[in-house]
This record gives sequence, structure tokens and C-alpha cells, in this order.
Amino acid sequence: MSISSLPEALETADGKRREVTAHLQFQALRRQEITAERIVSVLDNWVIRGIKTDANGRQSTAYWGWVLFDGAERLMLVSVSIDDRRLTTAHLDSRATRKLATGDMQFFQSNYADIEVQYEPDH
Amino acid sequence: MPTSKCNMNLTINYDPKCDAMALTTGEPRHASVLLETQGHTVIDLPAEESYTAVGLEVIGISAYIPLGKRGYCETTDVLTIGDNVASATLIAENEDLIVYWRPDDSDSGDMSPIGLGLRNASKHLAPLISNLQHSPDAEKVR
Repeated sequence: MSISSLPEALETADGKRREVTAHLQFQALRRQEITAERIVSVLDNWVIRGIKTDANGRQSTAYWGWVLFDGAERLMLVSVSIDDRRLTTAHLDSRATRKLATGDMQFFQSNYADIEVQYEPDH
Repeated sequence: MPTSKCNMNLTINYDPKCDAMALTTGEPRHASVLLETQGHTVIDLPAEESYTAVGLEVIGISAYIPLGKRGYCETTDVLTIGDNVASATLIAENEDLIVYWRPDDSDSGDMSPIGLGLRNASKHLAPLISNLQHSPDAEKVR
């Protein structure tokens, strides 16, 4: 197994420092889009934010933001623990990208609670 | 971080700190989609327009372990994540990994992933089951 390129923690523009979990480190080995720069960019420039509840009833905060990958703007999810201390996972989501690009908010409304939107008309 | 390889080249990784499981076939992955469910489950795909899975990510996996807690059929040894998989109009299989799809509610013609199945679940998940039984961290996440 190669060594992940992610540092132990990442700091956003507001000075908030969050731990990179072992799970996110593992996913970064397989998901090429996961880089420190993209994760920080999503957290700093999110367009949709909402609360996700896992199968155990535990909650996390989902941040969605646009990133450039393979020459195209795509929507990326970064998941943060509800105490705002740990980065849990991240991935580009092809379906979410299509949904937001076409203005279909139903996808997000049905999957997340307490949704906030910072819409960017460029996309 | 425990990593174990079981038969059919499925590799499982479990992080007790966030109760997250990653399972991969080892095949190239190019895209991901969220499973339409109350939980946090992600399907890794070999291409954006593909329906077969080459990996899974489940946050809150201890909701399903030990097997029998939720979504498990002992007779068939299949773990199913997601509700109402019987309504699927497309079932995409990659050996022991199954993804259930149906058209979503929009007029886009887009397909929505509504469920996952893992055949031979007791074999594939054996390292995870053992980890959750023996890890002190596992007690915290149950």
C-alpha cells in the first residue's frame, strides 16, 4: 500500500484545523480526486451544506463544492464529523453534479437535513 | 488501520474512529454515487455511466455488524443495504457485489441507486466482524 499524500490535519481559510481520519487517508489512495487542496477548497467555497445521518443515527456535516477534475467542473462532497473536528470522507459524485448543474435540488433535499445553499450562478 | 484481503479479491478496511468501512474489488475506480438511503453509503464505479460497483463505502457500518442486526439473510448469506430493493428495475452485478437501480423521480431519465447487496457476506466481512468483536474502539461505536 502506498503512502497517502494527505497531511494529518488540514486548515481552512478561517483558521479551523481538522484531523484527517485514517478512513479518508485510505480513500485518498483510491480516489484520485482527493487532494488536500480540493478538500480545503470545498470547505472554503461550499455551495451546499447539510446534515447527513448514518445507519447508526450518528450525524455528520456534508459540504458540497465545485472542483476541477479531468478538465471539468464537478461537485465534490467532503464529510466532517458533527463536532467539526475530523474529516471523515470525500468523493466526486457524478449524479450530484448532474443534479445541481440542472438545478434539481430534490436530490439534496431528500438526502440531507438543514440544507443551506450558497448558489453560484456560474455553474 | 486494519486491512485484510478475503476471497474474490475484495479488500476491506475499517476505521473504528469514524465507524467507516471501505470495501474494494481492486478494479480501477473512476466515479462515485451516493446510495439513496437514510444512511451514508457510497458506491464506487469504474466509469461515470457504469452501473456495476467496484467498491463500497459505508459510514456507520456497525449498524449491520454482527450480521443479523440489520439487512442480513442467513439463508442466502447476503447483506442488503437500502430499503425497497424489490422496486429495482436494473440489477447490476459484479460477482458478489450487487447494485439495485431504478429511475429517479425527475424527468431526466437518470437512474438512482437504491440498494446494495453483498453475497458471501460472512466471508467477505469476516475481518471486520472480528475487528468489531475484539477492538476496544468497537465498543465505543456500538
